[in-house]
Amino acid sequence: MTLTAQSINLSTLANAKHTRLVSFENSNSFLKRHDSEGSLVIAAGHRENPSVHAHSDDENPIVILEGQRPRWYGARVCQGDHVSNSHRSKIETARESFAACLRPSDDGRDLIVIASHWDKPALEALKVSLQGQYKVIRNGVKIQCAVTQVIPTMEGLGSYHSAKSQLKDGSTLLIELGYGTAEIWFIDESGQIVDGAPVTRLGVINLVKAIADDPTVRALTQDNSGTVNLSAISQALQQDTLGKIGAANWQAVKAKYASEFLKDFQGYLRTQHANHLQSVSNLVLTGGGAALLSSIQPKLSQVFIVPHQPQTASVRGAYERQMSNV
Amino acid sequence: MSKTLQITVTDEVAQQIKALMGITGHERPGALINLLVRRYGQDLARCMSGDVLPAQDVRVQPSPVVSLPTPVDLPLPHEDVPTFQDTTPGTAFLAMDFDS
Repeated sequence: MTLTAQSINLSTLANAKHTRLVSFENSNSFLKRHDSEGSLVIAAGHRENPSVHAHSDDENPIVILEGQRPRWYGARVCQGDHVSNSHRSKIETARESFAACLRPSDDGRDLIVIASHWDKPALEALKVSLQGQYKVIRNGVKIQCAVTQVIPTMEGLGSYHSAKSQLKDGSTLLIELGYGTAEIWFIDESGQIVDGAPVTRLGVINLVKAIADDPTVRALTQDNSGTVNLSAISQALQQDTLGKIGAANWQAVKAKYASEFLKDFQGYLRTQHANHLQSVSNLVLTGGGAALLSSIQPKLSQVFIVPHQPQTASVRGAYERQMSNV
Repeated sequence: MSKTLQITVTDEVAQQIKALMGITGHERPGALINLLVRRYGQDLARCMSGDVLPAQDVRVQPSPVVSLPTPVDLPLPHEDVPTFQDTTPGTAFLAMDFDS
């Protein structure tokens, strides 16, 4: 049996006391972690100095990173005024975001972190940002650990690994549909990325904003200042109702704007990637947007492979891909 | 130099092609149609009805596939036979109608 240098390293460390392999994805919308204990997804917004009544749990943690004020992360915070990660670089937020994802069982451990980014030149900076000691109080529990090694990986490869068992021979067009952006990856039949880029106009936020501009939605959901809460619409996309809008109407609104969104999606692919579309054997749709759109528009399952639990397919796949090298 | 020919067929014809593929064992409609076009050209409609299709050519006996309602207008056999472009998942996505 032949082992690569990296797999020898991992194999050795996997046997060492206190060392744990963790996959981490610092998206602008969600912080995602996967390891031997499972997956953790935290909405990537925070509020500083939460009140004593702030209800924290694993997906809505209150985190004190050494030298910083307490921050309350998660979906509950994102329903109201919060600091969003979307206007900061992933490199800048990597360390604090990873701290928010630490587990009590990380205490006293060395961690090897597989971290992904869409921009190849940024991978080295991501590595530097994540490495080092962490002293954190998370939901009242002290956690001290060290990231001793970072294995940077291109976004897209984790999801590709998650979908691999469902793929036919040949090349693949993989679309990671996130909240703020989508990433489109062309992967050859050997599993190498040969082209790809993030596309802002295809993020789910565009669907949310279109719904927020709908006259019916605006009339029934805006507050006194005339503002429609985009977070509330985002959450309601996966629910049966939105505020005073009943199930039947909400379903119709979702279907109408999902249809418009998908037509824009088609238009983008037609103008930018017609050649690739003629040749790829597989279309993979993944990310949180994949679960959402395929639930609203079942036709997508006729052409797209959607991996199991698409929102975490990337972070899980990156972990499993690395483990398969050991 | 081969050319690419895209053929749009009615749902009924598509079903018949699928049925024939099931009998001949072809995995791609393009491969089956290329064979039929190359050998039979404008006789394709009759070929698909099963009444002139030699069994050894596509390893089938006259099939239970019903006759096409109208002859399909396909090019005559020629050495430079256009290659039928299979529908890929990508082109199928572009053709999807999300309004219906």
